[in-house]
Amino acid sequence: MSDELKPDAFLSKINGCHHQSPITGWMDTPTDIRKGMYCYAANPKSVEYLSLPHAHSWNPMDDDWKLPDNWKEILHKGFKERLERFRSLKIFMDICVRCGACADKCHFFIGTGDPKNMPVLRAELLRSVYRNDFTTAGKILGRLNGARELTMDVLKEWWYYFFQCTECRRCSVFCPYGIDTAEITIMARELLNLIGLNIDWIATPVANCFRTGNHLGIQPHAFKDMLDFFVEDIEDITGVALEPSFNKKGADILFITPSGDVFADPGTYTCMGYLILFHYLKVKYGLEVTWSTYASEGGNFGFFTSHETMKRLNSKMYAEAKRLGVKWILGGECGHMWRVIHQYMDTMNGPADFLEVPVSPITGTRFENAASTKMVHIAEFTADLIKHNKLELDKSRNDGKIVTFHDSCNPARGMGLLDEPRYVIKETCNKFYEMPSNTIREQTFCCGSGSGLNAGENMELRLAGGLPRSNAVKYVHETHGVNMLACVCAIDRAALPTLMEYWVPGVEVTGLHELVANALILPGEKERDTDLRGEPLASMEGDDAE
Amino acid sequence: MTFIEHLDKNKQTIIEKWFNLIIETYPQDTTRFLKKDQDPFSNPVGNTTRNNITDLFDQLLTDDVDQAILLNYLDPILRIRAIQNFSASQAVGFLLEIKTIVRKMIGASKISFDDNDYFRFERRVDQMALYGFDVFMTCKEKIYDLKANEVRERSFQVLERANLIEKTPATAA
Repeated sequence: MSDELKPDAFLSKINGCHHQSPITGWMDTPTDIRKGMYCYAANPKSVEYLSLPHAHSWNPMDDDWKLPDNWKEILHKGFKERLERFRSLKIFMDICVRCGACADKCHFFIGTGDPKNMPVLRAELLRSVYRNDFTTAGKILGRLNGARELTMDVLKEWWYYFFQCTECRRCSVFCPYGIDTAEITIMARELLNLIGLNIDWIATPVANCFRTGNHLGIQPHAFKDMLDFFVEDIEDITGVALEPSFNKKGADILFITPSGDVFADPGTYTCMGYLILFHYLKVKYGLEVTWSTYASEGGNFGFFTSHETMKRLNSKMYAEAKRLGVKWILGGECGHMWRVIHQYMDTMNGPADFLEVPVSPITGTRFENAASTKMVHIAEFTADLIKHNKLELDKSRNDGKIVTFHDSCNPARGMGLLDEPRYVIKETCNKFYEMPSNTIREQTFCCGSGSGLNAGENMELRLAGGLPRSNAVKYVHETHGVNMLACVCAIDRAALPTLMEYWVPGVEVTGLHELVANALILPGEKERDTDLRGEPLASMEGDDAE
Repeated sequence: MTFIEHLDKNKQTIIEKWFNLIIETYPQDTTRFLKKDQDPFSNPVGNTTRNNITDLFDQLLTDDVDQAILLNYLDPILRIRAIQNFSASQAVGFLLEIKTIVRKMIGASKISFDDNDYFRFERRVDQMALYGFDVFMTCKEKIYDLKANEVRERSFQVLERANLIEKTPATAA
C-alpha cells in the first residue's frame, strides 16, 4: 500500500493543517483587536474629573466607539497644533529614512512578532496620516508616498498600537537620526485623549492623583497608617523603633517616592528600606528627612496623557517643598518619575529658586546634575554616602540573595543613572552577576508594563513585552543561580514578579534600598535573624554556615 | 540504512525545514528577523525555537520517549506561543509538521512507509503533540491565574497585613 502512495499526493491532503500567516503589506493588514493585548477604556468619571475632553463610555471591541461627529476635524487640528508647537515632532515626522535600525529593537516586536510593533512601523501609523494631511507630496502622490487618510480603521490601529509602546526609548538608542519613537507615542496618545480615548489604567490613577495626591487614591491618614505599620514590622526585625516625620516644616529634605512602594509588594520592603536609612541618618548625622502625605506620589501618569496633565500632577512636588521650607528634594526609586523630573519639571514648573542646589550635608557632595531641578535620586545619594564610608554595612546579611540588576528604562536612558545602583548593590551584596551586555545599561530591555500598561486585562501583551528581559534573567538564573532581580522602579517592582512567575520561576524582585537596609547596621539594633521579608538570613540557616 | 539512521543523517536538513515552517507561522515582515538574528538575547523567539526543536528531534529518534525530557523542551517554545497571536491549533500544530517533512524525505528514499520504525516514529510525534497541548494549556492557565490574582497578591495582602481592610464577620454556616 505504502508503495502506491506518492508523497506529494499525500502531502497535498495533509498540508491543510499548516498555519501560515497571510502575506499583505502593512497598510492592507487589518487590525485585529485581540483580548489580552489591550487595556480597558477609561472610566468617563475619571476623564471628567480632570476636565479632559469627550469623556464617554466605550468598548474597544465594539464597532462604534461613540466618538464626537467631528472627530477627524479635532484630530487634524490637534495634530497641526502639535506640529507647530513641538519642533521635534515635525522633525521626527519628516526625517526617517526607514533604514530599519530600530525595527528589531523593540521588546514588543521581539515578544509579539507583530510587525506593527517595529518602532519604524508604529511611527509610520502616524506618519502616513501626517503625509496625507500636511505634506504636498503626500497630498498628490497618496499611497505612492506612503500617505493615507485618517479613517476609523486607522484610528483603531493608532489606539491599539500606541498603547502597545511603553515609551522606553530603546529604539531611539539605535536610530542614526536620533528619532525618539517615545515622543511619537506621547503625541499620538495626546491626540487620542482629545477625543476621549484614554485607557483606564492611566485615566483613573491620574484622577486619583489629582484628587488625593497619589495614583491609588490613598488618603493622608491611610498613607501614614501604612508607614506606621512598616515601622512596627521594622521594630520586630531590628528591635529599633523608628519615628518617621510627616509634613514637617523646616525639615532638611522632602522625600517623595511612588505610592506603589507604600502599597504594593515587594515595593513595600523598599519602602521599609528608605525608613531605615532615614532613621540611621537622623541618629548618626542629625539629618531630618520628611515624608509628605500631600506630595505622596512620585510617579506621574499624567505623562502618559498629555503635557498639561503631567504638569498639573508634577506641580505638587515643588508646591509642597515650598510650603515645608525644605532645602531640596530627595526622590525614591521610580522609573518615569525621573524622566519627568530630569527632563520636564524644571521647564514646566520651575525654576525652583526657593530651593537650594542639593548638597549632601553629610558628605558635602554637591549634586551638579540636580543643580537646576533641586531633586536628587536616592541611588545617587546613597552611593555617595557609601563612597564616603558614612554607612556601616554588613554585606553578609544579603548572602542568601544572588543578585542581578535590571536597569529601569527611564533612569537608565532618560537620565544616565547606570553605575550608581550597581555600586550600591556591590557594596551591600556579595553575590552580583550582570545580565548579557546587550540587555543592560543603555540597551536595557523594558519590563513591558511601563507607561500605564501595567493592567491585568492586557496580561498577554505584558508577558510578550517582558519576554526579552525575562530571557536574559533566565540566562543568569541558569548559569549563576541568580534568585533576586534588583531594580530602581516601582512599576518594575509591580510588573517583574509577574514576569518571573511566568518566565523564570525561582527569581524574586527587590528594590535597591531593601538590600541597603538589610545590610545597614542600625545603632542599638538587636542581632537580626531575618531579612526585611521575615525570611531567615543565610547565616542562620544551618549551624555550619559561615 | 535503517529509518532512524536515515533521519539522523539528514538531521540538519530536517531541522532547518522544520524551523522554517514554524517561523512562517509569523507575519512575513517578522520571519526575516526571526531566521537571521543568531543572538539568543536579541532574538529569543527564533533562538529558543531553533534550540528546542533540535533537542525535540533528538528525542524522537530514541526508542523510549521520556515525558519529562519532552516537556522540558516543549515548554520554552509553547510558553512563548501561548502569549502570541495564535489559536491553540496554530500554536501547537507545528509539532505535527515534522511528519510532513519526514514523509517528504522518505519519499525520496527507499524506506517503506510501513516500516515498523516509521510507525514508532509517528507514534512518538503524536505523543509529543499531545504533550504539547498539555504544556500549552498549562501556560494559558498560568496566564489566567496571573490575571486573576496579581492585584490580590501584590496589594490586597499588604493592606490586609496592615489591618486596613475591614473583614466580613464570620457567619454560622
